[in-house]
Amino acid sequence: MSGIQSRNIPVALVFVCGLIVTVAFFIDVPMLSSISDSLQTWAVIVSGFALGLGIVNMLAIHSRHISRKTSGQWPFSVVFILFFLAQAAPGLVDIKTLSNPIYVWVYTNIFSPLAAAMYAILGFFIVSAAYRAMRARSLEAAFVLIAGIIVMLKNAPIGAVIWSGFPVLGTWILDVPSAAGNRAVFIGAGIGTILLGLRVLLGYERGYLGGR
Amino acid sequence: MMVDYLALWRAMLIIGVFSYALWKESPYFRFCEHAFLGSALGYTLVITIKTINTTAVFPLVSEAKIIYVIPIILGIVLFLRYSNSTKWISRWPIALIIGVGTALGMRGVLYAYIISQVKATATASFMTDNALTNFNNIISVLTTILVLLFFTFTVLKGEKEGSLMFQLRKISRLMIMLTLGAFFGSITMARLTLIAGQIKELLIAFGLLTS
Amino acid sequence: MEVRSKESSGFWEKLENIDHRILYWILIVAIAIPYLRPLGIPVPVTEPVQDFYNTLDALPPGSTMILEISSGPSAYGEIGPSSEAVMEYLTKIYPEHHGGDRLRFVILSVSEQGPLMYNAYAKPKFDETGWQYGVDYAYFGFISGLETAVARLAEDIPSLLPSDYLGNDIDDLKAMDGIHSYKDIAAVMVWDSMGATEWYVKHWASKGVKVGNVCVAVSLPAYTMYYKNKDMYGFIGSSRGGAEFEYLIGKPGDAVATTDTLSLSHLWVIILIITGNIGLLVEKYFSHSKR
Repeated sequence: MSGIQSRNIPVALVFVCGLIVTVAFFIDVPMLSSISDSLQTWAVIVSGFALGLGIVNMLAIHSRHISRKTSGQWPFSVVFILFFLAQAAPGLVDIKTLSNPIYVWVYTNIFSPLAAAMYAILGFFIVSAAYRAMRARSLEAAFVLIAGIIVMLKNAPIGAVIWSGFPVLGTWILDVPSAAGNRAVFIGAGIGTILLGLRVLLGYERGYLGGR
Repeated sequence: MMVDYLALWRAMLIIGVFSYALWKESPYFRFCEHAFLGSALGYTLVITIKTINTTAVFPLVSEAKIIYVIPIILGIVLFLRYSNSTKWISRWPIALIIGVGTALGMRGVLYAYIISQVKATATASFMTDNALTNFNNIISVLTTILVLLFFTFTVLKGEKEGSLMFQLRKISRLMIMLTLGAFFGSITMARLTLIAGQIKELLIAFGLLTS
Repeated sequence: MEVRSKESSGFWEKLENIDHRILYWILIVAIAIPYLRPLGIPVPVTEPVQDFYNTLDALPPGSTMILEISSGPSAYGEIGPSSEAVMEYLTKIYPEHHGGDRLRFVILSVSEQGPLMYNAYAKPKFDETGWQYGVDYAYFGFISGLETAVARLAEDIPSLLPSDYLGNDIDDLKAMDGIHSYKDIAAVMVWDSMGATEWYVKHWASKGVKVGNVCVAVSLPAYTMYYKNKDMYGFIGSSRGGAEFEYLIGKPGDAVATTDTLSLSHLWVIILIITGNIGLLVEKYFSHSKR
């Protein structure tokens, strides 16, 4: 396919869609607002389809493992497919209300507890980090540690029992220097977002087009 | 005593996941990992179809809004990326999402990230009746300005070790470290609370705690 | 001196290389103990939680709120108990304060896992207190599009929500009467573990709508900043904020129990940080002595 169709039309589309939505925000022209509203609604709908891309990819990867009998992996890919079907099939049967008992059972007793546990396991690595990595090797590192410990003792009720000043100091750190630092970071990020957005709209950033 | 077998089943799943940290990677953990991924993907598929039904198919069918055919076709076109000969057209719906999303993102940050933050900094008064508020506002404004200075990655003419700008950047780094320290303290609470929730489930499942 | 340094650095070396699994098991014990023997340390109510409560209580009865559930099972441990406490307040205590009159809710999720949290924490409370679906509240399920969806909703709610989660036409839902855009919404509350509150601040608070949330602790520094800027009316941060809210409404429960566990677990993390740093000092001191 020629470069014009393959890459330049999408870049032009990005520019046109972005321009309409941006200008409609600043200038009140009914027809422009109407087109902008439609584009936003369409983008929401197309985003829904985009979720399906990840599903197709994952199914393809695990199907390949099963067909090639990848050593040490293929039995778990079978587990993956089985649980995928166990969750998806009953839900698709009753897509209107999503009250199929098997669908509800699987997400209550398999997906939900596993999701919660998968995120919770990160807590153990905070312990490792605290022991191995949180070392005051410089003045700056010491500042991080001291602020972190004070905020922790503000969050934990026992901090107030150890010293009544910890909650006061911890709240002060969050309300004053931390909030102010975040403000500056957000201002910088905002300027960066606008500049990057302009680069995307003007076609200088084309990473979203993917490979050839 | 009645045994809640479902609670025990859920406890076995939690132990399977935790076994990665508390013991080692094992077929037990990998089973739980792949069960999670499979059920998560199945759930995502169902929810995706439902949301497309709600936002696009329903207005098309029930309210005869023919124009909704366009986003539905664009959405289906996304899947043409899996063939080399049709990959080029799958970029068009991506372009729509990127164009609209970028414009909305820029609109959003204008208020939330820039105007609101600058307003909060500029309107901080140093002359209130409360001395602590005045002190806090001075620290706040100075911190914001210093941290902004730090993110100016241009080396100014005449800036060298010992110069005023150099010293100011050192102070601003310390203020950023305070911000990061507060962030670390908050993350610690977040992660430990998540583990606490799972420990509670295990205690309830094994009858050591009533819910 | 040499013998002492060998023994000492041997001890610290062993401590440095301790199997991390031992540390993890001690953490589990530190968390389990307060569940089995509650410490009962009081949790004072902080300003953001008090303001959150005051703002909701001051809303006129019959006002419509957006309840955005952008969280799921991955955050149940953190914001589940807090969300339950908020639902207790909204369904029972608010009506008690306002002669039996209620608020109305438009509930949706920009997170795919949101429907799970709705079914776990919101719907049971509505059912328990006799709230009528379609009249007092309406649920629209997952809406794709993330920030784009939130921005679009501010301008035209029916365009993205033509039918509810059960397939009912929006025009048939009494709860949606007169609801077209941000102008018809009194306040927004987000149950947030993915940063959706920021999208509401960008596209709703910028138009003057009150925005508050129940959030995970990771986002606390950022939301503290928005609260200080008066872009948010308040927030309930993690289980600690939930415990404060439970005390505020006079119904200590799960959040208080979970917050109790923070005491010993946080102390353990702090002990580890201090131990690690003592080891660092010892390493520096003995490496100087050897020279």
